[in-house]
Amino acid sequence: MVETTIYVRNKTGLHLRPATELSQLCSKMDSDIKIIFGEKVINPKSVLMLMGAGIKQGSKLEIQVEGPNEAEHLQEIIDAIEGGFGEEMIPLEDIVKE
Amino acid sequence: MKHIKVARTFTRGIAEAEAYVYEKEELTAAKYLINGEAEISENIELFEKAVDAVSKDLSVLAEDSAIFAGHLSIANDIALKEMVLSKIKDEKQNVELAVENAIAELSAMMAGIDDAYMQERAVDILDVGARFMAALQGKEFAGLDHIQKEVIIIADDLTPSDTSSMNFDYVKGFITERGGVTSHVSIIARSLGLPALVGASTILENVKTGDQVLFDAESGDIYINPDQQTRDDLLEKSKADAELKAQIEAKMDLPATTEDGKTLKVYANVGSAEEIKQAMKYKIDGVGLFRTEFLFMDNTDFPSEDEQYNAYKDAVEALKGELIIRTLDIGGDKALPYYEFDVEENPFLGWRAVRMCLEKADIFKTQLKALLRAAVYGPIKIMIPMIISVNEVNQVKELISECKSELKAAGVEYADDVPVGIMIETPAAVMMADALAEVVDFFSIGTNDLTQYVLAVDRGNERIEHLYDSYNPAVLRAINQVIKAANNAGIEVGMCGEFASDANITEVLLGFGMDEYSMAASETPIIKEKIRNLNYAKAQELAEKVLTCSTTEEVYQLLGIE
Repeated sequence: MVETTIYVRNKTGLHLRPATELSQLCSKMDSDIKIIFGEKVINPKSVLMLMGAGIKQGSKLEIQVEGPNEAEHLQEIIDAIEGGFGEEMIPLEDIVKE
Repeated sequence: MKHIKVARTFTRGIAEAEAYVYEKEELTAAKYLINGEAEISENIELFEKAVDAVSKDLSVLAEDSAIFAGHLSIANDIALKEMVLSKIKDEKQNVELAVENAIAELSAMMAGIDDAYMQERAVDILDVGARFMAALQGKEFAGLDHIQKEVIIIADDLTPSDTSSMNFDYVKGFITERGGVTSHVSIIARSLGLPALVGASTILENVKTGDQVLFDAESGDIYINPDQQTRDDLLEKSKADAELKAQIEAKMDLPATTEDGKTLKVYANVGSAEEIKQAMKYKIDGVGLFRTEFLFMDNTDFPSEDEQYNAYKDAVEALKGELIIRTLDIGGDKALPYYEFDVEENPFLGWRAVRMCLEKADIFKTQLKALLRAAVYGPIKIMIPMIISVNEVNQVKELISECKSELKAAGVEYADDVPVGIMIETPAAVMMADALAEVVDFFSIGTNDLTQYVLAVDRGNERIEHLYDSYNPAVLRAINQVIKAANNAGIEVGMCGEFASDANITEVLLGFGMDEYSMAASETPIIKEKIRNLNYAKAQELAEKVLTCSTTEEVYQLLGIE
């Protein structure tokens, strides 16, 4: 299993469209993926769980991926979240210092 | 007779019909526990069949509805599936109970989020749940399609499945207890132009099926079993209006030319290409205000350049005339479901319209590019709201040139000569009108905001509402000043506020030297008829006299208004 910690930096957090994009990406992967947000453990293949988690700009997420292509899949997920889903981003320093 | 009043309204029109109280037939799940592998796989199979059946129905509906496309993805959601399967396998619940519980848990989760948009998505999950239950029980999904006489629908709330099954030949309006501005029912009522009220919190306890309901969607007044007097008054008013209108509409083909030969433009205010098609029935000369807000408000995200381009192109192609498109006028009190605005103490003096657009240049440029591209297909003019300075105009123009070079570099076709004008709504713009007239191609006076800002009166404040009056000489002088500045600079000047459709002021505006009047399409035949009976030379004399009035009462007296 591979894992990483990441901050959500795009404006709307995992609102409808970003959540849809992320769940579509994860659904294509043959890995077991978990997003840990606070006390919640989320299966990101479900857009309902992603939206329902209430992940906002500045939220800290732990991502765990397990499967034959785990490293590659983790990187794709990181790229998607770091890419900000085409939205405006805030700098990492603004989140971490708080 | 009972009377209920709703404070916040968002549609107009008067509707009267029998009430149809819509109580959803709640299909209750058969609840029992199952035993053994055979029963488990049997129940799983039933669930999978239900998913297939529901998906099949929703795929058809999803073809032209983003809402149902969302429902389709909920029906196939992996978390929903896992929850149902675990309840069947591990908790030994039969399939109906398992689905009911899973739907309840998911919708409760969504309703618990601290975000109005997400909370309303709980309704979508329940709607999909109701489809599952119907499929599992082998029933037709119950809607409102069986209604065969004119009714007003009264409900707690209405889902997309409810409204999609309505026959709008019979449904004359709806009133719901719940629902906000971003709820489906508001969006659908607006797009259909149907009288509707939401947030009527006591309607269900006061109305039963068969009661006569009369309501005014604009004022928010609902009368249940109205007495003859109330009906007569309200219906008489709408009937008299309708008759007079019919007479005037018979002449709507004729141009708005005064007795002494001055021809004016009488344009319509609209919000979509669909509305333009409706407005064409009134033989409008053009569109003086195309609001782009609804394109942004009835959406789940900022519309893309292509989405906007198609909307503007459809609009200008439908019109075959001049189309003045106002860029995004949002913020302050007008919100977007997918973008959080900061709460402000003075929204009308706050971060809105062009102020937001200049800061969010990427969003603004997307709109400007779409406009430049669509202008290839017809005479589009770009209009910027809430301007207070020449500086702002220069910034907008700079962004427009950037957009042009980017489009050029990308090899995309666009119109190079699109006129750019501004709304005159602020006292600053009035005072700077001569300077602004040098840098723009046209003016359009927005009297709703201009009156509010010139008089410093918040229209929503009941205590000072009586001070809000566009006949106030201060407002009339401001309007005159703007028109004179435009005339001197040789640019066109119009008006797209409510004042433009007030026949009592038409002559004065003509006398000031206004070129174009823009209003709700249904009002245009009346104003055209009015103009045909006016004389420009006489109107100028009247305008001079109005400018000498020092009180609103004097203005009323001069114009013969009681």
